[in-house]
Amino acid sequence: TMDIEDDTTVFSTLKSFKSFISLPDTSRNQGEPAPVQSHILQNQYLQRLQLLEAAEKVQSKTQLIQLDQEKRQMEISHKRARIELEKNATLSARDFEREVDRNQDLLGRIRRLEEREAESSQSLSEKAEANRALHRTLESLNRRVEERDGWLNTSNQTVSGLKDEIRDLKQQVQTRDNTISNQTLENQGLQEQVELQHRKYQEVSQRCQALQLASSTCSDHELKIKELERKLALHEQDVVIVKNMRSEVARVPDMDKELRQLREENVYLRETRENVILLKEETEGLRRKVERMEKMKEEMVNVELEKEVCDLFVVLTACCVPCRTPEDLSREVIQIQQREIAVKQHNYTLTSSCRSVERSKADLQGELLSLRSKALEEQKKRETQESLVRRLQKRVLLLTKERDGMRAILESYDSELSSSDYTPQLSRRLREAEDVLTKTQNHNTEMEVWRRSVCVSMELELEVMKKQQDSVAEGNPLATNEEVNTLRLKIEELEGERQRLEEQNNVLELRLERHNLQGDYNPVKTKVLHFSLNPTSMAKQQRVEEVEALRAEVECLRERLRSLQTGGAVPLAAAAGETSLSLPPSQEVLDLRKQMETAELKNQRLKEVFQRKIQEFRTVCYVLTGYQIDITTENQYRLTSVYAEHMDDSLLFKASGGAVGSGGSMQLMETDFSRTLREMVDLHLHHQKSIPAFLSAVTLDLFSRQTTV
Amino acid sequence: MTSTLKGITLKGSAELVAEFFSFGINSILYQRGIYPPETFSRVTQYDMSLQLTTDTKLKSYLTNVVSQLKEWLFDCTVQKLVLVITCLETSEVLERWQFDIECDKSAKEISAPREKSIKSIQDEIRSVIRQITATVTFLPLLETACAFDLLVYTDKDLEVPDKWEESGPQIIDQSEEVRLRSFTTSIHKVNSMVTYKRTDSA
Repeated sequence: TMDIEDDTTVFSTLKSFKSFISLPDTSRNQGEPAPVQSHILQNQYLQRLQLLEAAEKVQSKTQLIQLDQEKRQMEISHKRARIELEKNATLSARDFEREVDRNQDLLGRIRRLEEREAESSQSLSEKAEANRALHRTLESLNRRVEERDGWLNTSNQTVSGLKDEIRDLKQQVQTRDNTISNQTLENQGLQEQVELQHRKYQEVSQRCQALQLASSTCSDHELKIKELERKLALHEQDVVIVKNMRSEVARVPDMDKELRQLREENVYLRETRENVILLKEETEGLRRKVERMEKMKEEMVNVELEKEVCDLFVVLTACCVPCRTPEDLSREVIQIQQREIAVKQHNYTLTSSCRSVERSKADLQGELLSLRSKALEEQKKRETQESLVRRLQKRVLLLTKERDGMRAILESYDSELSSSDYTPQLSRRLREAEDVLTKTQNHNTEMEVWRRSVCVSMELELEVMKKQQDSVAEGNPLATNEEVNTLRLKIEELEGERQRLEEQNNVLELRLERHNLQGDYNPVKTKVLHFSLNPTSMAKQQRVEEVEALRAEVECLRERLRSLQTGGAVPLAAAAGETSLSLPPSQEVLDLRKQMETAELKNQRLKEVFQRKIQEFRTVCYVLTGYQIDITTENQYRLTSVYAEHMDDSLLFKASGGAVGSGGSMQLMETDFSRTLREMVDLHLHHQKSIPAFLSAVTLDLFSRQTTV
Repeated sequence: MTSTLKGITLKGSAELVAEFFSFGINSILYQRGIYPPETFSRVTQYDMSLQLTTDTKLKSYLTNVVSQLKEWLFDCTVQKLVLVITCLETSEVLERWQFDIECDKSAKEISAPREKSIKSIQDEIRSVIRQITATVTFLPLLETACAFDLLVYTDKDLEVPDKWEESGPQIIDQSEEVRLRSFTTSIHKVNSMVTYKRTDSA
């Protein structure tokens, strides 16, 4: 409202200001305008007054409105205040009522509480009385309690004594329990020990079984060893034999070479036989010469001997040898020579013996080496066997120890456990183990014995071999000879087989070679390829094409032949039109064609000439005889005269009995024209029997007719 | 190419062998009269005069076959080369010229050239071709018209090139075989042999 009032005041001030301003304007403009302007000014002033009155009215209206509004607001606020007061009043009334109610409630409560108090006081008094009574009872009870406590004490004492006894008893029980538990523990321990012993026993039994198996395998092995040693010995023997045979076989190529050489020598010797014969003859001649020469020589020798004797005598006499005669000389010389010879013989024997001894020494050395090697091998075998034996002995010792231990354990068990069910079985098993042990021991002893025997035998063999070594020169024993023979037979058989197999091999190789040369192949590893467009296939194709072409030509030629046979000169032209055949025209064909053409030309000319001539002759006949003669059919002739009246007038003659020239006669046939000439026919043909006369008569007749007419 | 190098390589050996086949086949065709002599011209090779065909179709066929053969020689997959002469009328095989090829496969791994002089190889080839010319004197006459074919025996697992196909071995029944000389380049060894149909007049 204040704003409105302000506005209104502002409006009013503005208005007043404007009105104030306008007044001086009008006052200013008074001097200038005329009385018209004063009217205008008065109007304006009146208008402004009216406006001012309107504005005042408006103002008052606005004020009224404002006051109304204020009033309304005042009324609203008044109403609000009243409502609030009423509310407050109602609220306070309610509160008051509530308070009153409360009051009443409280009063009620107070009364009740007072009643309760009274009751409680009563009860209190009663209870106090009860309390006193209770106190009395309490006292009585207390007395009883005391009595009972006394009893209780005594009983407690007895109870304590009993408890002590109980404790003692419990202790005893405990100690007994302990002893029982200890005993049970001991029992368990003993049971465990028994179980252990069971297990040990089982192990021992297993070991015994194993030992048995081992001993059996030992025996098997020993058997195998024996067999192997036997085989070894056989092998060695075989090896020795093979070596010998190899050496012998090695000699074979040398033998082959010697063979070849001998063969060559043989050949050479055969060749030189003739030379030998010649030489023999020469030698005979030479022998005779030699004989002569020998005789000469003997003489010479004698002479020389004498000379030597004389020389010796001279020398000896010079040397003072106790001999005077040449006979003594000769004797001495002979003796000296004999001594020389003896010495030389002795020398030779010594050298031969030396050589033989050397040879034997070399052989012996070789054999010594071989024997030494054998001895080494045998020593090695012996050593291995001894080691085996040692191992076995050790095993035996171990087993005996085990057995003793087992025995001790079992004895201990026997001592501990007097009445148990295991002993008989254990003892039985013990016995069995002992038996097994004794068996193994026996086996061991047997093995040892066998080994010793083997060693002994080996030693014996060694000694034998040594003896053999010493006495090699005595030669091979007979037993080996037989072996050698059997081996030789085997070798021969094997060689025969080998040769057979070689021959087979050669044959197969030849076959293979042949197949390879022929071009065979293994289809698994090889395949054969060739170029698709190869000359052979192309040549074959060409051939096939040629054959087809030739066949087609042949067909064409056959057709030509057929057409030639049926037609005449036509096919030539037709053939010329056929372009399928392109035979090169040969020389004969050309000549024949030329001949044909000339012949045809000749023919044509001849035909023309004949035609002309015939035509000439016929015209001449016609002209001269006056008749045109036509041959209608065979042996029938038609004559038409020059002077015939009609074209159809003709005479027909038939030649009967073949041709005219060969004795046949002509007869006139009946025609229309001939009927008109009956008289002449009768006259000339029947009576005169002359056809020319008839014909001439007819011409004359016709001529006469013609000319006259 | 190979004549300038000192040793023989696998490639060089394959070329030498292929060249030999080319000239050898031409010689056989000329000697046996499969093609008329006027279709051959003289050339010099291996220090001797040989005949080489001038027929274009035949030339192209031979170059095709020989070039493929050179590849196979380089791979060492070819085992034999056979020239088969067939009578056209009766379609039976009259002659078989077979060349076995043994290849040293270690040359494939080791690429070092081998010590063998070209001259010695050419000498060997010359003697083989001379022998082929000489064998013609005792072979039976080929009176009928004949055609030839070239068969190649290869490893089974070889891929067949196009324009080639598998064929039979075309073996002659009732044949006589003659083994001829061989030559080797130290990588490839070629053995020659000829098989001909036994003539009943003999």
